[in-house]
Amino acid sequence: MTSRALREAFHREYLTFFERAERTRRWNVFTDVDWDQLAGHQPDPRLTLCAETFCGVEMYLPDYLRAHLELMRGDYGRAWFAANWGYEEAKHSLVLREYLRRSGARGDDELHDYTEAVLARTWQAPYDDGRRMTIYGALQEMTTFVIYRKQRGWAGQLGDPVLPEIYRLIGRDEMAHSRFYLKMIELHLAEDRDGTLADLAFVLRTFRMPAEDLLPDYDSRIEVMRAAGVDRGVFLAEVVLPLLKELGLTRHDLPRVPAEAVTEIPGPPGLLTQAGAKR
Amino acid sequence: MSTEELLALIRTGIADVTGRPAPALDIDTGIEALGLDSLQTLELVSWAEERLAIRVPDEELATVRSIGDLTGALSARLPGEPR
Ligand SMILES: [Fe+2]
Ligand SMILES: [Fe+2]
Repeated sequence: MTSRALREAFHREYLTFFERAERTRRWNVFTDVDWDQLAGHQPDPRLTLCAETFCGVEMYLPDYLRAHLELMRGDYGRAWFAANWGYEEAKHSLVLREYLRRSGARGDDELHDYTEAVLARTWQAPYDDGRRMTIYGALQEMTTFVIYRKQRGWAGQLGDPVLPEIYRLIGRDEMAHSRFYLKMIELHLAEDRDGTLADLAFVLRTFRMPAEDLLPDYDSRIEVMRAAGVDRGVFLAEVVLPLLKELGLTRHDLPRVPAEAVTEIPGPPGLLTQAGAKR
Repeated sequence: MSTEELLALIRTGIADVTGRPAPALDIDTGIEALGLDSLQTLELVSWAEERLAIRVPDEELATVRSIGDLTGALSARLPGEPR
């Protein structure tokens, strides 16, 4: 359980985050994407497979939200953040779904089938602790940002008329979310440095992208994402090291994670790691 | 320190960090192919730094993709070593 002082600090950070979001980051699925540009355009199947994959990952929103709200229920700033975050995230799967539909890459029936297949499975939060979930959130949002930035570049090279703008809009949201979580981690570090560092090392060691193993045809999706330039090296270089730097830390600050706290996750290797938290 | 000696040191480090015997490796072996997690890669570098009494800046690790990149980053900091 967090202290009252920490919860007050969370709330102040949330107000700053929310004010900025309201003033500078709101966007509209229907009017901020120039959908007319899709007329006569033949979408690239590699791009649409990726868009469908990310759309599916974003579709586990009900599970993400439930996990956050359950953990943060008594924490005003964090619970209100989760509610606002859920609104922003809801647009992510929606805009990608609209892209798949309006570009003609997928028909309505296909999209409904896909949605049902995705939602038939349930995502489980990897950690049952608020601080670890906060660290997980920072990593996951930053990784998603990096993935969307790469997709944006790739879609631009392949001449897609709307995907670069879609990925810019949703990537900007992901970066804002990651920054909020980083603020929360800073506050945790100030209150309990050793405990927070231990959690940071643990989550880094066991991090997996959400729902990556829940999606239908997971293996071929991972293939395409790797081809799009997301692998463990990128994760280290563009997520982990910048995140540590942002927190004023280096890898020498991280304690060694005891081997017995970690387990190998069966099944296909994750996009980033094979390890997981022992439950 | 020769490349062979560095490779042997890294193998010991991999075994220490992962708790499993290290596979055979050469300079072309990819870090990812070794199954090292991102944090294990960082731990491996820290482990080697301690043994060699050197420090590799975090920024440089961003470009480490293979065992050869790693031996390069380490040997560049060893006193009297040709780069
Ligand atoms: Fe998202
Ligand atoms: Fe997000």
